[in-house]
Amino acid sequence: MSAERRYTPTHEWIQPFGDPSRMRVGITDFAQKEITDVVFVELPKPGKQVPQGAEAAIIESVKAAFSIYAPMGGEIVAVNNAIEGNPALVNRDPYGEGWLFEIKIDSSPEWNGLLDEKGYEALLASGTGGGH
Amino acid sequence: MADFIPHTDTETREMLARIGVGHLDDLLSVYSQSISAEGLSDLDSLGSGCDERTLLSWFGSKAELNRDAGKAVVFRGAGAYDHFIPAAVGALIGRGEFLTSYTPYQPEASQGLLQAIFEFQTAISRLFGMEISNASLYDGATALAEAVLVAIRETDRRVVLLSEGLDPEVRSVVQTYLEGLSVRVDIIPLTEGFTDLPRLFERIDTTVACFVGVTPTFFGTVDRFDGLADKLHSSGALLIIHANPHSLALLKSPGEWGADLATGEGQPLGLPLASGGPYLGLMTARKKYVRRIPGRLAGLTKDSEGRSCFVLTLQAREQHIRREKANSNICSNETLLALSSLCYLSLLGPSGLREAAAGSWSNAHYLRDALISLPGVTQLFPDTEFFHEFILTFPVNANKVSEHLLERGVLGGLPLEALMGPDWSRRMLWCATECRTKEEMDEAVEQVRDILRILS
Amino acid sequence: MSFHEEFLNNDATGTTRPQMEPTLWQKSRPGARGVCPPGEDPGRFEDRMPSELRRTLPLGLPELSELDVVRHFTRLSQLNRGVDTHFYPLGSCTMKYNPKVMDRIPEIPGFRDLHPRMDENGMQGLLSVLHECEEALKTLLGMDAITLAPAAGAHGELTGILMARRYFESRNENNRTEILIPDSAHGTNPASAAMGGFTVHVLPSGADGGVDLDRLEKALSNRTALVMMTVPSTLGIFEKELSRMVSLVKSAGALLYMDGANFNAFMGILRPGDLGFDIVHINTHKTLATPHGGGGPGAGPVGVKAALAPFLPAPRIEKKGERFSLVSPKSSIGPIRSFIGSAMVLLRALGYIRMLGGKGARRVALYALLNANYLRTLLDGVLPRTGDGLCAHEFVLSAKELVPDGLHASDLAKEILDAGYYAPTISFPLIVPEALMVEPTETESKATLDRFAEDFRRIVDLAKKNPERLKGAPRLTPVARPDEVSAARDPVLTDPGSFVSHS
Repeated sequence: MSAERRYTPTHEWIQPFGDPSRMRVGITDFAQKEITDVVFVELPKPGKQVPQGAEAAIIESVKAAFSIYAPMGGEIVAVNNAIEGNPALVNRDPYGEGWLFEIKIDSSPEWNGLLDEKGYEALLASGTGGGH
Repeated sequence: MADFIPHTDTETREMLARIGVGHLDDLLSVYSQSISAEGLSDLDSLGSGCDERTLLSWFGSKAELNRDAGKAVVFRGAGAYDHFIPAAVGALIGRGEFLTSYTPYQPEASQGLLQAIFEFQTAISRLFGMEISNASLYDGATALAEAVLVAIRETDRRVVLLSEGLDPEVRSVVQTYLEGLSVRVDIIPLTEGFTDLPRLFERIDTTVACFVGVTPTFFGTVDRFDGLADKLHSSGALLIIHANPHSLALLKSPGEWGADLATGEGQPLGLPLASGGPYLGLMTARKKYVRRIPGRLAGLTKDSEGRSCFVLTLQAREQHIRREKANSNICSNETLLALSSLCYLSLLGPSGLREAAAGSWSNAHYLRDALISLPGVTQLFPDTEFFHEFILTFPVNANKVSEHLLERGVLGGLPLEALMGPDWSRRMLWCATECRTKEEMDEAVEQVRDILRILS
Repeated sequence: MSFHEEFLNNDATGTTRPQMEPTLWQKSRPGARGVCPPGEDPGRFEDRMPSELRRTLPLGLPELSELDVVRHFTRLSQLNRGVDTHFYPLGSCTMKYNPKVMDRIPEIPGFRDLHPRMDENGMQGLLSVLHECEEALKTLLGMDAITLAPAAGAHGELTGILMARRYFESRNENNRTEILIPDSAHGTNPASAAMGGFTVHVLPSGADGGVDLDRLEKALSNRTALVMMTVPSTLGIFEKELSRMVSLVKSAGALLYMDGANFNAFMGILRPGDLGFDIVHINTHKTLATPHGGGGPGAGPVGVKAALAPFLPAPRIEKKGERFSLVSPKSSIGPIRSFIGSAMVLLRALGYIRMLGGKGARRVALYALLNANYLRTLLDGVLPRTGDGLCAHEFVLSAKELVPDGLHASDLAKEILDAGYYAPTISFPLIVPEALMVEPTETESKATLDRFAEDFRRIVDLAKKNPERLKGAPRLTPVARPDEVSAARDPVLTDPGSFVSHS
């Protein structure tokens, strides 16, 4: 599988990481700007099973809390502990150091239902994305 | 009639004209068809209003029917204590800038209150030996219930162990809070007034969310929790200690016992008996639980010009932001009373607080010695250390003793039958704070002697 | 620099802002004594109490003289705004003037110094007064029974929700696990529902800010336990089709709950019981003469219809002849707090009702409507408002049009502070972007409202002409805008200086 990144209408991204059934998840640059300064991320416990679309993490700004949904179903196998001490990473580098968690996915067909880069850009341009 | 409406008739007319309606009642069209034309019928039963003097004299006449501390010397505690309160407390919390302000959501216009809350959090954290405290909850019982909810959320487990040393009414409050949440509550019995730790250790497994220990217990005894925190932590459970904050001036603090969360009733710290409320819920925790605990938190930060200042923080935990996912529904709390207790603690200081607590301990022991010298009176758990409360067994019905004492100007110990069951019909929970004088105690003992003579 | 050194350096910025006050621990002087309580040296205690039960950790409390403490808190009070010092148009909070005579009631020794576990014989005065408070609230709310126990509005909500749970259990309708709540509701409503073990179903508001009846009808089912409504809504709007809504809910077999936080808008005019509500809570610290105290205490009495009365929290006040007693019926949900209730707050509520009388109570609500509508009229056209025509006791404006200039409702609020007021509520209700919620209350004079309207208009003009100016507000308060991001990222919740203890 290529290192291609896919997106959800709720502004998460997902990308294979190492082995093809292991996926890394974060929020998009658009989302981090909307959220403004991230002050805390409540990460899932490794080992937790999350179906596609279920709430997997919560990102807090000063005045709001945002649910982060699992783009694909599976088991949480890793979380980014670095953002616990330094939540600003999510703002600074949402696609890199600011990743949130990794999922061992159940079903690869879910991948095909996600937006590719063009599709996500079109969604942003139309302004119809499902807000966080 | 007084209604505190400042408008003159002319002003009212001008305002109505500006709005474009002819009469005050025309404004009621916002309620459209929901209003009956004739108005509410039984409003007259609320009377036609009165002036200040009439009002206060009416309340005064009702108050006369109560046997307050001025009419009956208080030897009763059981969750509400007659401690000394410096006059300055009332003068300071009565300042209108505090009294008539709202929750400090606009920090620039609320620095005084925010700093006071920050100082309250500091004083209460230090007193409990814990790292953090919130800005208050309703009372000790609801604070404990909220702490149990924190443990349930943190561990995702559904078994809660409560010490038998908890006030039975506080235990019921915890159970009411857990009513809708499918949680099992088990009571861990006391032996001789303290927790049987080996038996408790056997009961701890990976289904347990937390154990709630209490000190001093409802029975007045000082409990001990050696090795308990480690044992609980090794199976992923939390230690919660519910403590009387006044006793912590001298007794080992929840932090020293290794508690994860500690709660208490703040009434002994500068609040009057007040017929039962409002009181002050205290909640403290280890810092790692800072995003789990309910209630407001004031934090230190800098303003945009680099000046140190205070602000409500971690609000994203709270109901106004997280709604059904919030970690509690609490909004209004007991800020003004938190301010009372902060004034109290800073007026007494560390030496004053220790002296008041030592006075309570000392008076209670003097009183115990005198009462058990009466014929037929024995102490329950005589070999267990107690702080300022103790249980005595009388040769006669305790309700009767209490009734006679009250007639003689003494509010004696609490008869325990109503709370504990018929086996406890001859038992009373006595208390003496630092406020009791030797004369008051000697007099009360003589009254008990006389009453026992009459009743037996 | 340590925190303390930095804090003391606060005035190095050289502005004209009022000076901040050092913390208690910064002012602490080792060995200083304040008030001497009765008591004794702890020496004897230390001799007799086993060392493993004694505290070894320093107490960490500050050491100050009585005057040090009095000056400290007096200074802090001067850095704070209350209704006594400033107009406080904080929407949904009903920040009205509360008569000072009510402050005297909790000072009456017969109430202040009464032990809550007094024998019933010794608390007949208290019980009779609380009973009368229940009766007065029954009259004002049109309900069959009242509990005075809840310590606040949100606590009342939880109480009502737990009672509804018991009610449906008693009817073997355990399938009713959902609570429907409009999206404009106070956050406490969904939070209380979740604490009570219910699932929350959010009802989106219609275009006029009211409940969308079609959506309500679709959402109702045999799973619905409760529909929680705020009346008038947090937008200051009264549901136009309330009676149809009530019958929809009733025919679905669900109960109807009124969040009566906005009681000041309809006291003596409408009664929740007459409107068809089964459960209602009110906030006595909003309408009934308890000042907010910087966040509390308050009280949140709950009224219910007869079918729910068996489930009211324990203890209940019972009247037999002329004698009052406390009873705990088996069917009760149990106690929800210690002792009888926040008696000192409830006494004030009763005192206020007695002083107003029935007609006075009604006048309070009428003038709350008058002041809100007058101010609304003065502000017509300044910023768009949600809803049209008359409002109830408050109204919501939106500062959305300032967003392209980089301004938010909060920027207006900060400039309003500089004009010498507290600010309206901002960012609530959540369904209005850049909301400013204004509730003047009945106790403010026409002159105050005129002056506020003029200043508000000037500030919005200024925002449009010179947005940068507002970004620097407030300039006259003791501090400028706090850095809330770093406060939340790395919370400092206790004074670092408190660890240096001298005791």
